[in-house]
Amino acid sequence: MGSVLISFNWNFHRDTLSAELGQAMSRGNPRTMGKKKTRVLALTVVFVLAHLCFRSYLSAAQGPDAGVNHGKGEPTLTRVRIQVRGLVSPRAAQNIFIRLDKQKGVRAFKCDLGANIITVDFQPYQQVSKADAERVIRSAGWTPGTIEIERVSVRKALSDEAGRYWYVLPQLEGASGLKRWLVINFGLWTIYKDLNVDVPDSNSGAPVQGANKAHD
Amino acid sequence: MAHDVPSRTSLLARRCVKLQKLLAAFAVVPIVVLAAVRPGRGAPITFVTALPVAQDQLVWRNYFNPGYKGDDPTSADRDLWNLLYNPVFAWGPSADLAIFASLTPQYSFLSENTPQGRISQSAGGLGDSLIFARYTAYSKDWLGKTLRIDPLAGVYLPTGWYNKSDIYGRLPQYMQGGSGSVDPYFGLTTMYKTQLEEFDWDITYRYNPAASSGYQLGNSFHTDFAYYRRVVPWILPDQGLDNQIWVGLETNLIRDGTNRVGGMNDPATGGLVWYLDPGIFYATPFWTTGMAIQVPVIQNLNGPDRLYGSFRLFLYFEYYFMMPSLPKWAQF
Repeated sequence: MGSVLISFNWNFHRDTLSAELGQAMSRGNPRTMGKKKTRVLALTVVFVLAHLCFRSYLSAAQGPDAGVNHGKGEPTLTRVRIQVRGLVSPRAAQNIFIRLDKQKGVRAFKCDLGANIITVDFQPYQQVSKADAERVIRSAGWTPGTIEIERVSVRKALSDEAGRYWYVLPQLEGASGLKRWLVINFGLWTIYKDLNVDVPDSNSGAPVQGANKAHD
Repeated sequence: MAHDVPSRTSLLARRCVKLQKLLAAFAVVPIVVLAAVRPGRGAPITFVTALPVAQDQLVWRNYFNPGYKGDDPTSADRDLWNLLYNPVFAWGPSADLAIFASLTPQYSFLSENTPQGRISQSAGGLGDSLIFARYTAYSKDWLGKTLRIDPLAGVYLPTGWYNKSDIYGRLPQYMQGGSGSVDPYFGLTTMYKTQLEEFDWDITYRYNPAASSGYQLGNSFHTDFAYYRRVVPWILPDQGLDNQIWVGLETNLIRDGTNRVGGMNDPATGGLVWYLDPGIFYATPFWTTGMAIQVPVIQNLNGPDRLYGSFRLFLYFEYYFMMPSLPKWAQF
């Protein structure tokens, strides 16, 4: 599509240039003819550059981290599975929960104490690295083991998160600091379980507020 | 006849000496009482030094500690009830550093026989406050196991009263809430915990410098040990994070030095006490509650007229809060 657009631009440029040249020659003023030519060339360069920028933006938005799986046409999100050394009690798991709330884009998590595994689902738009996961575990006071990062469909994630052991973080971006503190600290996790999940539209990749309601 | 009617000065001096002896005789008791609730203790219920504290986390633990001392070898037949309701806060500015603060609001009620009949005395207010920092010097984590060794250091601040009196005169020292001095405090705590069992041990030392009144409590040495085992769920499921019940036994060994009055050691103070504390607690990811009962096994106290402890109950509730992060420039 890009090459088509470029050739179209080129044709546009060439046609415009010919028209401008024709007009200038018909007026018989060589100075005017030179100015118009420069203006047309400048416009063409700007147009081509703008097109290239737009194309690179499109390709980035359609990449594997954009939340859209084009192969299946299904929106996805990042799921991180972290093996934690030192995870010995509910108290130890809470230390990690505290740190997860500080991490950007976390929407839900689960602790499997017997298996020493913390599973974290991020918002579809959120990119995450192994270094991020390691930092969370270390700042909680424990040692990270194996870390697996995978893409799962939003539909599957929502189905999993409806399970008993998941904690879904309230989405409080616009809330005041006090409200956020109260909500986080006084056990309102589950009340917000089904609210405000940003699920990307499978066609455009744009987040759709509360789209998970449709899955319930 | 002159010796039958003592002069006013000598009477006052004798009263002072008697008062000093009384103070000295009972001086060790408030240390024991304070020690029973201070955080530097060696068990999960009676201590918080081994609590894991995450970065930007605030742990609030509140105790409710009624205690009774009724084993009095003298004819005074003293009965002392002491209630402490002390909050402990632990905050983690970083993953390795934790700052602890403990306040000791308390109330004491004493009844005893006197030549005027049986009397009651009471006192209430804030005792000495403890602030200390703990740093994780060594830690090793395995799958389902963790080991931590943390030195700690801090001070007891003289926020408690130490010269309170009522219509009967100055209250005995074990009803005074503070030492009257800034007391350095340091120690070492170790925790080894698995998903099934927990072992905690600590050793702490409190140095008591002379108070402004010229009275100096004996220094205090503690070592404590705790063992707990998870009983519910008996077999840990692979999935999820269930609430748990743990039961166990704690033990506390306390050695108090003799007090000094006017630069002289008082041999009727200080002593050795060893306690056993069976306990149970219920743990969820967001709060914990539990109880233990502290029973003395050995009370080797100096002096003939000491009041011996009977029991102390520990009830506590603990909650975990997320706190805002420090600004970047203040993080370390």
